[in-house]
Amino acid sequence: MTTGLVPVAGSSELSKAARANEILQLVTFALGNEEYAVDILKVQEINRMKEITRVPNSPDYVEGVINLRGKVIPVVSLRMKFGLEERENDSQSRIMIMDIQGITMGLIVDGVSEVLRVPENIVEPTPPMTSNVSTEFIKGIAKLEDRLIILLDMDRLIGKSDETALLEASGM
Amino acid sequence: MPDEMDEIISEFVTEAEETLDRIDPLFVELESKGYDKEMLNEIFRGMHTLKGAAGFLGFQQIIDVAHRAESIMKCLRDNGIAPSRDLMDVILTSVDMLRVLIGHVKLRDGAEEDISELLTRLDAAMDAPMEAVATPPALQSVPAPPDPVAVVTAEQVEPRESADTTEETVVVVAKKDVPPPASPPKPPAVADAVEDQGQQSSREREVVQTLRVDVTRIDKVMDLAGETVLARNRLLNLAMKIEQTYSGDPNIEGLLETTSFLDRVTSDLQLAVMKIRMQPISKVFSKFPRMVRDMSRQLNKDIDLEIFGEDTEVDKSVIENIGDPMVHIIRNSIDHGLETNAEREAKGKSRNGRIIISATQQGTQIVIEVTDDGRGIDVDAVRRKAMKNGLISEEEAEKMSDEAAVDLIFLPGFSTKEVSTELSGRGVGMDVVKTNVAKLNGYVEVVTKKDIGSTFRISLPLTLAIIQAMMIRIGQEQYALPQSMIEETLRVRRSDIKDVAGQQVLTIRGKVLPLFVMSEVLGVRSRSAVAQENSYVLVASVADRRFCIAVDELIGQEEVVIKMINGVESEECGILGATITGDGRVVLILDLAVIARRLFIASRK
Repeated sequence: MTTGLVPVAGSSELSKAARANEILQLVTFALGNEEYAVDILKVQEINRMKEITRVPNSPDYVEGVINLRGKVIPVVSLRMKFGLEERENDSQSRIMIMDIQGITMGLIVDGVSEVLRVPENIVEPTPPMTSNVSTEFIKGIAKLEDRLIILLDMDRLIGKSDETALLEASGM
Repeated sequence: MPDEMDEIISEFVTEAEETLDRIDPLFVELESKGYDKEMLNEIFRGMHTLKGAAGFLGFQQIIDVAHRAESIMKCLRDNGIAPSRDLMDVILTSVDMLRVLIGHVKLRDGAEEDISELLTRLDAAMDAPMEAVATPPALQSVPAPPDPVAVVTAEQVEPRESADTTEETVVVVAKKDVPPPASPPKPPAVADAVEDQGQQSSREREVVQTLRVDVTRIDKVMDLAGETVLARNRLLNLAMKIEQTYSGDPNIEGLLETTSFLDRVTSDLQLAVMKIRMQPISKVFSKFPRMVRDMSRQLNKDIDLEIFGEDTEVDKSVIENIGDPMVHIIRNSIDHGLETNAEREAKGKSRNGRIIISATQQGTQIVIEVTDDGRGIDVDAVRRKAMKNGLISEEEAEKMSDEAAVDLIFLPGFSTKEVSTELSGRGVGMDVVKTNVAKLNGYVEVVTKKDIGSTFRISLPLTLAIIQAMMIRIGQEQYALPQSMIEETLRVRRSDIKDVAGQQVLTIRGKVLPLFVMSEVLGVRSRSAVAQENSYVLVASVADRRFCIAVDELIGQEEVVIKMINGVESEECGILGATITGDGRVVLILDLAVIARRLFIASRK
C-alpha cells in the first residue's frame, strides 16, 4: 500500500511501461496486395461506393466529389495517390471518410477488413523500400504473427503543395 | 457585474469606432471646403461624446486626446477659422491615436501609448489659431464639463437589445429613409450643445429602429435558408414525379399548389435574409478620402478624388474583404500611376491627378472600379519582367497580346521589389489582390492606356450563397452555369458554324463571336456536341468578353445554393463550387470568368 502511495523514483519508469502497453486501435484496409491501417480516431465513417461527380482539370488522384449528407466533400483515390496501378472500383471498394488537417475527405480503398487492437510496442519504424508507397506517408510497420500492416500517417498524405491549396480553399 | 462592465465597454468601443468612422471623412471635406460651421460642429460633437463616454469609463488617455481635439474644433468653429493643412495633420494624427487607444480598450490589453508628444503638438496647434484671432487661450485649461458625463452615463447604462459580448455586429436598419445620425440642422450654441446632444440621441432612437445582432445568428439563419432552398428543390422534383404517376388523384392539385407556394415563399425568404447582410459600400469607401489625402501630402501630388455609387449595397463579407485589395490598388494608382504635378503639366495634362472610385450594380454583379488618369502600365516592361522572372518564354512574350501581357501582373512571382522600381511599382502584390478578390468569387481586370491612365475593375457576385443557374449536360455529367453571365441560349445548325484561322466562330446578329466546345474546355467526353446536325449554344458575357459555348443539352434554369468544396482547388479546376440537386446528386458550378480568361489567353498564343 505504502509503495503505491509514494511513486517517487518509479514514476517515470512506470509511465514508460504503461506507454509500451498502450493499445492502438486501427482500421485496416486493403490496397492491392498489401494491408494498410490508420488510427481509428481519424476515420469518421466507412461508406459503400456511391455516385461520384468528376471534377474537371483536377489532379488525377482526385476522383471527384460526393454528397455527404448535404456537405460536398472531395474523394481521393488512394491507389492513384500512391502511384499504384489504376483499377475499376468493385463491390468491395469503400469510401473511408476521414478528417485530414481539418478537412473532411473521402478516400477510396479496395476493401476495409477489420478493426485491430495492437500494443504500440509492436510497431517498428519504417524500413527503407517497404512497398510501392513512398515512405513519407508511413508511420511504421505493425508486425503481427503472420502479417505486416503498414501504418499510414494521414496528415502527411496531403503534400506541401496540396496543403497550401487546401488552406486557400478552406479560407473561402 | 464584471459581465455587465464588459458589455458597457464593448458598447463604448463600437460607438467610438462608429463615431470616428463618421467624422473621419468630414476632416478631408472640411480641408477642401475651408471653414464650414456645421461640419466643425459635427466633429466637435463626435469628439465631445467620445470624451464623455471615455470619462465615464475612466480611459484617461482617450480623454486627453479627445479633449484637446475638441477644444481646437470649438475654437475653429467659434472664431470662424478655416483649418490650415498643418493643423489638419495634427488633428488627423490625433484621430489615428484615438483609434489606437480604442483598439487597446477593445483588446482589453491595458496597454498605453506615449501620447505626450502628440499632446504637446495639439497644445501648440491650439495656440496658433488663437493668436491669429487673438482670443484668450483659456479654453485649453477648461476641464471637461461634468454634464456630458452624466448624459453619457444614462445612455450607456440604458439597457439595449445587444447581442452577447461578440464585437462583430451588423446594424439592422429598419427604416431606410431616415437620415444618418448626427446631422444637426442648426448649429446650436455651445452651452446648449451638450443638452441638445442628449435629446438628439433619444430622438434618434425613436426614429431609426436599429438592432445590433450577433453576426453568427444571421449566418445561422442564412444557412437554414440555404437548406430550405435545397429541400424546396427536392420537393418540387418529387411533386412533379408524383404528378406523373398519380395524375388522377384529387390531392395532387393541393400538393402542387402548396409546393408552388412554398417555392415563392422560399425565394422571398432567401432575398430577405440576403438583405439583412447587405450594407452600403460607403463603409469601405469612407476611408479612402483620408487615405488619398495623406498620400497626396506625402508624395506632393495634388489629387482630385471622385467617388460614385457609395450607396450600392453589398454583402457584409464583401465589405470586410474588399477593403484591403482596394487600398492596394488605390495606393498603386497614386504612387505609381499618377505623375508628379510638374510631369503632368509637361505632358499637357491637368495639374491635379484624378482618381475615380466607383461602385455599380450590374445585374447580379457588383462592379467596383478604380480609375486613374496617370501614365498607364508599360506593357513592354511587364513582358520583359515576366520573361526575366521565368514566368513566360521569349516566344510567348512575343505572341502575347497587350491585354494578356498586362494580366501578367496578377501572377504570383511577378511582383518583386526589383520589378516595382523598374516598372514604376505597378504589380506590387497584385497577386494578393487577385487572391483576395477570388475568395469572394470575384475577379480583377485591368485596362490601361499609355498616358491616359489605368482602370482596375473588380467584379463580384451580389451574394455569395445563392445564384440563378443554367443547368447543362456535357457527356454523362450535369453542370451548372451562373445565369448572370449567360446572355442567351440558341440552337444552331452545323452549317452556321464557320472556321476562321483555326477558331470556330458563330455570327449572331451581325457580331462574330468565337465558339468553344465545353467538353473540350473541360476535358470530358462528350456525345459529340458539334458533330450533330443541331447543337445547343450559350452566349456568355464575362466582363466585356462575349463568346459562345456549345453544350450537349440544356436542362433548364434553377436556383442553386453554392457549396464550397474544401479540399479542391476551385480556381484551378474552373469551378465556383458545387450544388446539390433535387435528387441528391452533386453538380459542379462552373466558373465562367476563370474559363473565359483561360480560353482567351490560350487562343491568343
